[in-house]
Amino acid sequence: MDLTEPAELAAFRGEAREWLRSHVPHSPLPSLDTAAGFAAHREWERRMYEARWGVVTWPEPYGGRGAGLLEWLVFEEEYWAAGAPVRVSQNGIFLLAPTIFEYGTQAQKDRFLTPMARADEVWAQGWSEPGAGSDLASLRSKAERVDGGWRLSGQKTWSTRAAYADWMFGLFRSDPASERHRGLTYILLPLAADGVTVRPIRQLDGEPGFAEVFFDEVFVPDEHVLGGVGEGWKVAMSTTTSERGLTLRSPGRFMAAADRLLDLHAATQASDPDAAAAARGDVVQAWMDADAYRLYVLGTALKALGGESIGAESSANKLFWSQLDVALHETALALLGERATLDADPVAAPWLDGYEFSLAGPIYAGTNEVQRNVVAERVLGLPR
Amino acid sequence: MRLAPDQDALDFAGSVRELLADLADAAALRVAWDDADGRIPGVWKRLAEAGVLGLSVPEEYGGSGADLTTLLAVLVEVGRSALPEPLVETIVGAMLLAEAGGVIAEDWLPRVVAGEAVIAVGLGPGALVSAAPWADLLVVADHAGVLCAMPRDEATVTTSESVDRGVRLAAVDVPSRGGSAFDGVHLDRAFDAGVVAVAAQLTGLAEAMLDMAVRHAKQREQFGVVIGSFQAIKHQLADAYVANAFAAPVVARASWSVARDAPTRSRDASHAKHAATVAARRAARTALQVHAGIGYTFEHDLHMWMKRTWTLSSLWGTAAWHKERVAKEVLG
Repeated sequence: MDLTEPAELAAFRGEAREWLRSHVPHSPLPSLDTAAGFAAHREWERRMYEARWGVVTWPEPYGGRGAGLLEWLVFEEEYWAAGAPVRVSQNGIFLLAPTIFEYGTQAQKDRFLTPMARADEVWAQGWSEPGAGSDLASLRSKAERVDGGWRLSGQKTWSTRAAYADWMFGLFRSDPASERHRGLTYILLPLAADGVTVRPIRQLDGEPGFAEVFFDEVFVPDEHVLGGVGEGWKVAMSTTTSERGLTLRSPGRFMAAADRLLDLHAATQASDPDAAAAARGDVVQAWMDADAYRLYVLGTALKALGGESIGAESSANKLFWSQLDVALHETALALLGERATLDADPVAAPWLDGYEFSLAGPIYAGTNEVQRNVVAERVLGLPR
Repeated sequence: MRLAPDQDALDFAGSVRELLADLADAAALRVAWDDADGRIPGVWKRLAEAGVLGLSVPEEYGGSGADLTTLLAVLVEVGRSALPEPLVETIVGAMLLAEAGGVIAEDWLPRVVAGEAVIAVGLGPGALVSAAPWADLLVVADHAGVLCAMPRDEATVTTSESVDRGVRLAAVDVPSRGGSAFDGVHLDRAFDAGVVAVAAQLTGLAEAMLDMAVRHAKQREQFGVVIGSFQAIKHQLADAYVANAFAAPVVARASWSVARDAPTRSRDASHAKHAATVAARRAARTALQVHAGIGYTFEHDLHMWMKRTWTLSSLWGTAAWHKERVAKEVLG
């Protein structure tokens, strides 16, 4: 066992902390789900990219630092501890980019990665459909073979960031005779293309954080197919399993939230000692769970670096962080008492916002019910 | 960096697992439970021969001088087997003696290594001393609250029968002895070592109970199919698995903090005991629910693992006690 942070890692941490301290905006950016807020978040991404902090895990030729898993974890800890903005580019840089690095042609890497990292092109994801949620393999949006490319028709929904995004990556049924996981193709398309209609959907918080997207004979050239035709399921799963699944939500985010919860508890101790005393156990539980999550991810990352495969750990992971996030925010709301529903209150609003976002955690990226099935079947070996 | 015992320690624990599967299987546990003494004949000696009892004893006394990170993997296996032997007590007692040094260490530690002496210790918030009726040497507080070491027959040991027949709990009464062999010894650190050792056992117990429940769910048929195909069963087992999977690295980190005497040692140890206790109790409840009727019998083996979980939950500070200890550090 050795839990001493190596000197190079500590130096990397120091460098990240220093840059963030002098560059993170002093006041929060406007909401990501408004046109002005979206633009402000793009601008922040661009500044990060130019300082080579935007995509630390990417190889250097693409503007990254070639950071390994441990450096990535450290960067995320520093990022969230610094109170830095939500990542508008996250669908692209965390979910799509690893797939492009694995399956993309050189031309695709050259075309897509740099604009993605600069947030000149923000990506939305196109997985779910009205009839295909947890059962994603039942999707029906289709891609028909035409001269030089594909013609898309159908509908995607719950498409995160699509209201203001520029591009979408998604799965389409390219073999009309196919069923389930077969005959799907992973396609990249501009949302400004002819025949695409984006209809923003107001989320629980009232803002258009996702959208439904309609395809009416949308032409996409062959060079926008990622991976092989008919191989879409395998290509898509590479973004949802392995170490990428592990890093969907970094511990740094929850550690920062738990630290803010301790501050809120301390403040409540002065203003409403009874409320603080009543929530004491829940506060320390949230703090311990954030710490446990950090350790679990660290342990799994170290296993991965040691060459062990880490498949279903990402499902256990998702169950844990999503439940931790809800419990942490519920505890904050309990400390706030009757202020907890005042969405213009400067102290309460960020917690209420965070609570609403936390409630999506057990739903997106595979519902927790599906994740429990995965743990039961692939880890414990129970029959399907 | 590494958040797991070293490969050598894991290999050694693997050999202990085989030894225990051979000498201390469920049938042997049953015999011990029914026996007045409550121990499995010969196991203690075999653990000594295998080097388990000398693991944490310094080399100058004949041990191998390993730290808690190395012991960790062995303790998980001891938990997995629900072994009714006073391992944690003896390990912590030996740590105290080694730190105290002098005649008492020279007298007792080689005997611990050889499997000829059992030590029971009374540290922490509880009043009952686990393994005291089995002990050759007691390390307990006297009437003046001073920690003393004495042969068992110099104290009054009053055994209370536990629902877990694989332990022996007792009140120990020692008149004031007018001095301690442990002046300057870090009692808190030894206590934290015991806490983490018990937490490691709890994660092993949880794994064993989940294994039993999964085996049962794959075999038991109702409505024409194995019950493990039902989501209502799968989801309970998945949640219990996740709880224990997230306790294990907390326990591992605590073993490092104790071994290195980190500033966060006590907080980390308490976090470990809390997480491991909650996870093991959940595994016990889940295993019982999945087994249903057959699990609620004395005939089925599950109850011995459940009851060990209950006793280890209660000893060395309850989950609530440890949670409050973390709260004091984190919240003030």
